[in-house]
Amino acid sequence: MVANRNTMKIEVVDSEKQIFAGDVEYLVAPGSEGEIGVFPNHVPLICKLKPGVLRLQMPDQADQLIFAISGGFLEVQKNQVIVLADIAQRTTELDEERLIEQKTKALAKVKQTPASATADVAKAQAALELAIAELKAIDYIKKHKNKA
Amino acid sequence: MSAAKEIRSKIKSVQNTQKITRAMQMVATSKMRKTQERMKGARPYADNIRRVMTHLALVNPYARNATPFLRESLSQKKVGIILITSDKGLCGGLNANTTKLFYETVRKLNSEKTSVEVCALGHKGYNAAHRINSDISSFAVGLGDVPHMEQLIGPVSHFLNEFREGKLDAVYVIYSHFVNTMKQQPTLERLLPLDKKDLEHTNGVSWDYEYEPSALEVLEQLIRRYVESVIYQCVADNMASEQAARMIAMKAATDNAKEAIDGLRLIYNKSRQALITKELAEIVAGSAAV
Repeated sequence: MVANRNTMKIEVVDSEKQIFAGDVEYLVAPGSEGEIGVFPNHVPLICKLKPGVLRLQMPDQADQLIFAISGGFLEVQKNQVIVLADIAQRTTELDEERLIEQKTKALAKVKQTPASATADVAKAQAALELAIAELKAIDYIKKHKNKA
Repeated sequence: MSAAKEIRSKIKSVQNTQKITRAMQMVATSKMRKTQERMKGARPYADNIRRVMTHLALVNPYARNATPFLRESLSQKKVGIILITSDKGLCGGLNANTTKLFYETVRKLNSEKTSVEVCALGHKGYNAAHRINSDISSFAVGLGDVPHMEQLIGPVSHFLNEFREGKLDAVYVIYSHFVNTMKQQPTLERLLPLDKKDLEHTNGVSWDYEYEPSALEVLEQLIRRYVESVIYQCVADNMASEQAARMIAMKAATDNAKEAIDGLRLIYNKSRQALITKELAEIVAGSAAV
């Protein structure tokens, strides 16, 4: 296959599996300082990601691929992007009601856990962040669909 | 008659042992499949973060000075070794091979006047390090069958902090790499500073990244994530090795038990026949005498 000049290769992985690999036209990621859009031929970049929505624009497709990620890192090399997510989830696998419930539970757990148990606090916070990210992703999809 | 009874009870005892080893073999087989999947699942992340780190090690010296994690020291005064082993035995030569590599490494480092600090993950490694009076600065035992990040991160981050403060000049990790079911390779890897060996294929281009929020913050966290991911991968690898080694060891034990039973049964039957023949001979002799 001849590489298209207007696409770049991207790999999305989280600590348990590879989530996505392929060519995209551009991507939008939740950078720690605000949303970051990356087009092909972007300058090399390493960026921290906060919990939020990762969007990939596939070539020749109207729809975007949307993932919820709970933080991680984004590395941009010349036309080669790596997203190292802590946890990533395809939005097709999400269910809003269950998520709201999860978020409430996670929030309660964060509040309950004594600050001395650092590992437990971190764990509870990670769960909460993921839940928030997933909810954001669902929100985004809803808004997007209403506009269309 | 007592000899026959003795042999019979011996057969019984070997059979019981065989039952246990066969059960352990089957348990190890099913666990092996799961541990292998876990190991393979963690691989894409580990590979990619390793690639990012490789790029990082190539960037210009300015970035390298931004964080102590990327520094290189010319002499090794003190190094840390993370020794990963299993908690339980009965898995053939797996832990023996790993600890042998550990001993050799320590001996080599000591002969170069380098002192060693050990972080033991797994009970067998803890014992091994204890045996040669190593300086065990941290350990985690009772890891179970699933690697739990929160269990590993405490002992390992102790090393990270010491490396950052300049108390350690390098951090190595020793574990058993899963090659295939029949072969597990004890492996020594340098975790910090980043290995330059992997860098050759990137033909030495020097450039720098843009960092967001700041170089220091990104690098520190990224390197922590990198170390966590490598340790997780190594522990998962070691667990797959453990189950595979145990499966093979228990299969061998079951086969040996079968051989032992066959041998004993032969002796038992021979002695039983000899007894019958003897009795017959006595009866015949007795009737001839009458």
